[in-house]
Amino acid sequence: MRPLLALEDLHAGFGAAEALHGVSLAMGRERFALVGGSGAGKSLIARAILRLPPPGAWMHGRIAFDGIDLMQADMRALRGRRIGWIAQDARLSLDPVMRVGAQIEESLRLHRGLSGRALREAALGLLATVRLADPVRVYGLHPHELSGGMGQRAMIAMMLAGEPDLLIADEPTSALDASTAMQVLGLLDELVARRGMGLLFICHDLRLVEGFCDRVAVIEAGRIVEIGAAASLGQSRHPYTSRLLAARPTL
Amino acid sequence: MSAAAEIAPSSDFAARLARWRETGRAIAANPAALTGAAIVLLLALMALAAPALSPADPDAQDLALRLAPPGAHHLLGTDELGRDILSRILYGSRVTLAVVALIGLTVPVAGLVIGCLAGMAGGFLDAALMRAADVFLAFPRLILALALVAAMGPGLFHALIAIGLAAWPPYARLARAETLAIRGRDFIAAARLAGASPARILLRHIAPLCMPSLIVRASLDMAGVILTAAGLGFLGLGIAPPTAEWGAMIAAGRRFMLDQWWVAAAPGVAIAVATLGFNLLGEGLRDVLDPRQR
Repeated sequence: MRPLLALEDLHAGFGAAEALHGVSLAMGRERFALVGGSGAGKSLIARAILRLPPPGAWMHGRIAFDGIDLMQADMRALRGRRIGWIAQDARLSLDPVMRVGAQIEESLRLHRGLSGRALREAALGLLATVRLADPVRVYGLHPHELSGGMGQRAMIAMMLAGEPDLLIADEPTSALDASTAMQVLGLLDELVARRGMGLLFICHDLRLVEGFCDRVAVIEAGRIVEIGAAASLGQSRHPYTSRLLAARPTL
Repeated sequence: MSAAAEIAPSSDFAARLARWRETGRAIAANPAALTGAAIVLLLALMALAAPALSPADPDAQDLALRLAPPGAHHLLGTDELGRDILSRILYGSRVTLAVVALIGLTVPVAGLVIGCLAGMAGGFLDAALMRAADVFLAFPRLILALALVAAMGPGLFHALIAIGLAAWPPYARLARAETLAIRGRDFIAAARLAGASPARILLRHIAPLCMPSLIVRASLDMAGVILTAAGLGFLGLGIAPPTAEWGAMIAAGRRFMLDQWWVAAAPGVAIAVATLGFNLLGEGLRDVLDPRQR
């Protein structure tokens, strides 16, 4: 089976400093986690896949998405439509002066060419899909009026507008409290399963990933040190993985 | 943040109303701004109702009554051709307000477009546009407008173009600075990652956020525009006579300043009051719209 996303020997960095030392991985339509400490290069990988590296960064290597060479492709046709992206704090990732509904509608207009009443209904439908309690109310709110969990749901709704095949979630729950985080994770899980999307889940919390993802790649200082089934992480012998596992406080 | 947030308005419309009420209250609480708003409003009414308010035809000459002092017949006296000065002031306000309105509506928009473009594009385009702005900024505004009108020939339209060309750089600078600040924020990256084109990002996400500071700048700038327009008129480079224009009226009255002071004083006071009005209103608006500068 051809993988949905395959990275081969991906290098990236800033000037003389190399931040990714040849990362290779392949994932299908599954829940794949990328785990590592701060500065390990997780987010850089995510942004490299979308070919939007941070200002001043360089990158080279091979990235294939569904048989398309992402290093050559017209990314604007793919961003949002085939590959979606969810940021850490949704409320910073939504335009502060646009209503939530308008932003979702903009994505719908762009990716699905809807207009008029169909547009509004599709937007409300998406807001309902992400299990927002009162879609009509949220539709008319500005981002600063949303709670963290509501914002993340709105962001997910916006990303679903393009019906992407791959969803990249860059620490989608780290700005949320524990119970809200679990709800958002449950939602992501359900959506990915129902729509058959691939999910690239970027996270620093191995324990969280263990129960949520199918496979895990552990990344340390720009290198993948371990790839395996999430369930078998507990038996890992790799010192970095053990350290990450041990780093989580027990409640 | 605002009363709108505290009362939790039930609908969009209610929220808007509450915001307007809030803005209105803030202006009302500021006596200077209120005075400014009153002056500008009065000026607008004067311009609109000039034909009804004028006691005489502003262009009707009466050489027998030239340079008559203020009195019962001519409240502000007559000028060197026996025209009623009050009527000419009223009609002159139309020219002044037309200039203010046209400049106020077009120049900030042009500056916004240029500034956002420079800020988004960066590189060569940015450098080229900003160096062009520097060239225009290097000259005092009136001098530049003067040179431009002198080159194009006098007339209201040419004066407008000249004032516009002299006034756009600060707006472009402001819009560029705002664009640079907004460009790095997360939601712009998110919009890009969602597949939005640069044009859409510029138009839908960046331009609206540049507007408040541009509006404030524009309202503070209008007093300067009045002065520039009057200055051009004074030097004979504004609207062609015999149309009443405050600057040109002062120029005409200058010859009789010592003996018939009212000919120059009336339009002078008009310019001063109009400028003051726009200035006060602009400062009031800044306090309300742009809390960062408080």
